[in-house]
Amino acid sequence: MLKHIQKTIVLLVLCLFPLVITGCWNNVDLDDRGFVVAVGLDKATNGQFDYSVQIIKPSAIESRKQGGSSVATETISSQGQTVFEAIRNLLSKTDKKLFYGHIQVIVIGEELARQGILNVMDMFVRNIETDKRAHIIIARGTTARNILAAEGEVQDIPAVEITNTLENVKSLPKIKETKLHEVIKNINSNGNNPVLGVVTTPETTEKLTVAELDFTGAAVFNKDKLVGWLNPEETTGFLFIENKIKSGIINVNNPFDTRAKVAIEIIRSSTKKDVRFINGEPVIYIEVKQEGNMVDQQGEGDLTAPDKIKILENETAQVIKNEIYHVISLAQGEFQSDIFGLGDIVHKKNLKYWREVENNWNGEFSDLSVEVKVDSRIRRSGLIKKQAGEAR
Amino acid sequence: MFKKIIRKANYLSLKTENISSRESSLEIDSDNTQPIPTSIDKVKEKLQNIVSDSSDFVMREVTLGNETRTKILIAFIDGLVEKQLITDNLLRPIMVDSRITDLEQGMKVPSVITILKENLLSTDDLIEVTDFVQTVHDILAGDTILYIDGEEVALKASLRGWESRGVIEPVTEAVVRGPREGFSETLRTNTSLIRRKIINPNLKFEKLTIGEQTNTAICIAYIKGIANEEIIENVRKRLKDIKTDAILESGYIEEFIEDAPFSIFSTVGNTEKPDIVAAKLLEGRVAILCDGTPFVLTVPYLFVEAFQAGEDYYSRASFTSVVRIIRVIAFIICTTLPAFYLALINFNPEIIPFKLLITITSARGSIPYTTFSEAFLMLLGFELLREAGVRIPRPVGPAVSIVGALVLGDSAVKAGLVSTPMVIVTAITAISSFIIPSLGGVLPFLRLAFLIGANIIGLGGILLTGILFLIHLCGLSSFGVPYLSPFAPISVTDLKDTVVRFPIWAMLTRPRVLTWENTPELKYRMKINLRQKED
Repeated sequence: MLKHIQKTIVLLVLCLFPLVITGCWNNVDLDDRGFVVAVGLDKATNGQFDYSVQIIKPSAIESRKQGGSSVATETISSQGQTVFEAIRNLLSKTDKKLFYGHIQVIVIGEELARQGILNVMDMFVRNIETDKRAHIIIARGTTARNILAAEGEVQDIPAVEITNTLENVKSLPKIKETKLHEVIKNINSNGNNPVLGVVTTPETTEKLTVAELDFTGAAVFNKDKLVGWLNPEETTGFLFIENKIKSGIINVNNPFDTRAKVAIEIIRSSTKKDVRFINGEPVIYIEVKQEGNMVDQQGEGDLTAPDKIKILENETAQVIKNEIYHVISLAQGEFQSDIFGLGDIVHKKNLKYWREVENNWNGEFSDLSVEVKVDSRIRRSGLIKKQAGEAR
Repeated sequence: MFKKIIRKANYLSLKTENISSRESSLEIDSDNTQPIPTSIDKVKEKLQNIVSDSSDFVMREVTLGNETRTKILIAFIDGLVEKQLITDNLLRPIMVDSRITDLEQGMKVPSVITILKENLLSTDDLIEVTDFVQTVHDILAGDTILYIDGEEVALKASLRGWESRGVIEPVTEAVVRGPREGFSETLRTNTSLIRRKIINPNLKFEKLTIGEQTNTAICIAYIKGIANEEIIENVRKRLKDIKTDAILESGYIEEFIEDAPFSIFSTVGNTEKPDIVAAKLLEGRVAILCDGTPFVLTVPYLFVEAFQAGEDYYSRASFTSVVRIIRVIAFIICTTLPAFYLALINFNPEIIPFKLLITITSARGSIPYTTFSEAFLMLLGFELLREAGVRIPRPVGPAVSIVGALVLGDSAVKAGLVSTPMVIVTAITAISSFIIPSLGGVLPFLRLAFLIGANIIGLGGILLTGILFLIHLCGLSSFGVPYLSPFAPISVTDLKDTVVRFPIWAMLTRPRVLTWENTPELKYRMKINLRQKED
């Protein structure tokens, strides 16, 4: 009998379990929701937060499908002392219930970023509705509101065009693509400072479009404060260290003709970063294993000979090594910020040492010596041996 | 208060007594027996009283022989008998043959009955009946009765023959591969169709008559030794307990004998195909055939049977298994798709891929009412179309599809009354619901329940509704067999013919849930057979 009751209770509990994982209980019709695709945050002149959102206009999308030219989104802004107040103030400008479940991109103005992004991140982390996969970028030299005002050309929705461009990082390792959840994970860590994507606007334009925006480079943070910028090449070096290289091009000199370049396409790359303790002193140790194809040869000569391949491989390795050294020296010198998460490695490896340096890790980090090893291989050289057109 | 109720009950029971006493005041009472009057004129008078206004009732008085000159009254219903046979086998022998032969002189005759039975009438079955009431029933059922002057015994000749639909392919259960014959409206034809499938003396057809006014012939079919005795007894008892005026279709019986009369789920199965009935009998089920309808009932009926079709066993096991899985998917789709659509777009739009959501949002555009109302209206529209399609006379049929396709589908979208995604959802739901026809009566209820659940608390509502229906299904049983078996309670050996179908040679045991008995000896016997085959 007792067993029977037990069984019943277990079954009931099992039945009730799935009920708690089914999510929202609010019944809101689609046409009452305003789908926020992009959020922009700036520091207003009066010290308040300036909050802009890009909302989809379903009717405009419908008319665009039929050849109309109305703008598919509208951007509205408001201000408030807290982010949430600004969001509530926004309701005076729209008739819809704003929904953050499909937010594509969060843009933060440079000025606000310099003061610290923790204050604005808080709201997005607390809010259960926010899509934590949203991209987060810093507007360099401009305001987020300006970026949100840029119109889409290829896509109906500018935010989607921004995200798609950011995701090109797979083949162009000059863009830093960071998602909200990655920032949340790192921002509280002592031993790992965030590096976010960057967007810059061209100097002079009447009407801004997304195609004109430049997403290369990266923004370097110390804790939650913006401290500096990486240029596109430095970003590549950073991505090498972070093992985020999926593809990309490395130009090396043609051994036959030093003025001409040969392009090596990265097809595979993996990086191990580590902190080794040599005589009790930590040393940054980075090992890159990279494989590539020769895809473009400028200048003359048969580069498929084994010795020439060897030369190309060494040159590639040297280029990568230089990029890595350069970006580390920047982090150690100019930024004084451990953007590589090396502190976390030290934390895991040597707790006792970490306890000593924890509070001054960025200072300690700047004095560490660095060792970089790059193993570069060229796998294929295409269908031809010499430059196209040259006699075989 | 109780006094009042008791008084009311007494009044009602008195009322029913009155009715039954009024009925017994009629000339014949089926419960009593009456002797057959010896005088032929008396018989004639009585019969005329009983069937006074029936124009199809035929009485023919003839005289037998030259010397005895016995009067014989032949009575039958016009249209229920084969007239040619009566002429050839009854009238001619009595009126002509008896005179031209020297039958009467040649032998010392014991009685007219013997002469008729043994020498004159050339019909294959000729039965002596002594009960007058019985003879009247027999006449009405289509038999021909010969009342003989001066005898207390009448002769019954079965020369039935009436217009009936032939054995044609059933419309409701079309097959690509498999026998195309279907039951017809005649009970005898139907039993013969089963008999031809199972040539076995253990196949029994027990006859019953139900319906105080209609006296409909009912047949319980089972295979002795395979069907569970308790189930057979149960079926017999439930059928005998039926007190009703009329049984016009097996649906009447179904409602009287089903286990859960208030449930939307049916616990009695029906089919129009002899091969399916034969297969079910062989599994240990009991079939109930009813005169006047091609639909044969089978009990016990389990939930899984809705997903099985006769053709499953005629095509390859692998293919059947795929089809079965598709049916299960179709069942899930046609009950929950509108509900899921509603829950996703209204409660959890973050789950829908962004681009799809944009498409749906822009398609919904300016629909003037909520998603729930939209879904409800579309499903209502579908049910209207379906019902119209069934009821409409064939020549007008295409009108329904035109109205349905153009007005409900295209124009409604263009007018901004419904959104395109909802039309697609309804269409997929509708198509899926045709895949499992035997659950057709259940699906609209389930669909609506899930939709309402989803409208209240989203995905949680769908889950809750599902759990409630599951609990209900677990509580049902059909003639002592749990409705959800072999899943709950689980019977591992019976899973061979559920979501997947094992090859026929791998299905060694009869369904244990139906026979209730553990059948190790049977299994053992089958194993021996297999071993012999291998040798």
